[in-house]
Amino acid sequence: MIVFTTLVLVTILMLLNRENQIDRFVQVKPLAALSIVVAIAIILAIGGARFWLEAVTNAPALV
Amino acid sequence: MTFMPAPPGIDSQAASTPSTEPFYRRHLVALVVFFAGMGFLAAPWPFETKAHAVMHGLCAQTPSHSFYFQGLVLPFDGRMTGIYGGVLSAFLILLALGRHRAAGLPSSGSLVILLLFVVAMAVDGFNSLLTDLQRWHPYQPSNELRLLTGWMAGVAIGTVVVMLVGMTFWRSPRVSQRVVSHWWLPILMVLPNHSHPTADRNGIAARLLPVFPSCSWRPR
Repeated sequence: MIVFTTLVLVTILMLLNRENQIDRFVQVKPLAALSIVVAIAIILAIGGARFWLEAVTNAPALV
Repeated sequence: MTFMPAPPGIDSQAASTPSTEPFYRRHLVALVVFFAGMGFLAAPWPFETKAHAVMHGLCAQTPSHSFYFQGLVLPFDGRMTGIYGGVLSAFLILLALGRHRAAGLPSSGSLVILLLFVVAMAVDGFNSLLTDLQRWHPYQPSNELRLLTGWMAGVAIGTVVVMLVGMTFWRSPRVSQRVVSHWWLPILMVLPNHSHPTADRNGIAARLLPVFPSCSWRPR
């Protein structure tokens, strides 16, 4: 989750054009909280998509 | 009477001082993590099922490639445990060394080592694939090797992410400071893998360690 959160945070900063404007970690607190939520959503979405694909394609269980 | 406008940023700094911030804003990150964790624990399924479901998109979860703990298969297989462990190890060590503000490329020596780390995982991955396909393979794959090579690749990925943070976050990134300055630093970041309960203490890492005379730590 730390890895996903960091990547999401960097992405959000770049999307908001707020890169290279931070002096201390404390300043990214709200965006870090948002990044955690987005990261969890992405992790769950990928997992859900895999469950869905496995159900649709009747994929055999891994051994 | 003259009016002197406050320099930009003063108001926002005053508003964000810890003493004036409400509780929920001061501990926003901790609260989000807490509620996410509580939500996970409160979900009405067995812990193992929930852990596997949450990690389902991040890892293949092949049982034969996974470690077992008290008879239960762990939600991450050996390689993924290594990759995420390696990334975490790189994060923590580079943070401890103050490299989170560094925006310079790794030194040439460390760059070569990091590339070799990724190549090592690729080689082990293909060897494992060939074994699964029941084709000729150079050596017998093992979960310990998956963990080690995954950890090595994780160190490379973590280094890149830390450098990305150094380049992206800070108002004045330290372009002249290399994120990894010495060739042996990536190898140092692999050493925590050896403290992993599932690590192979007689394997490759154990044989590599004596190469570093300055390292007082030896495998048990």
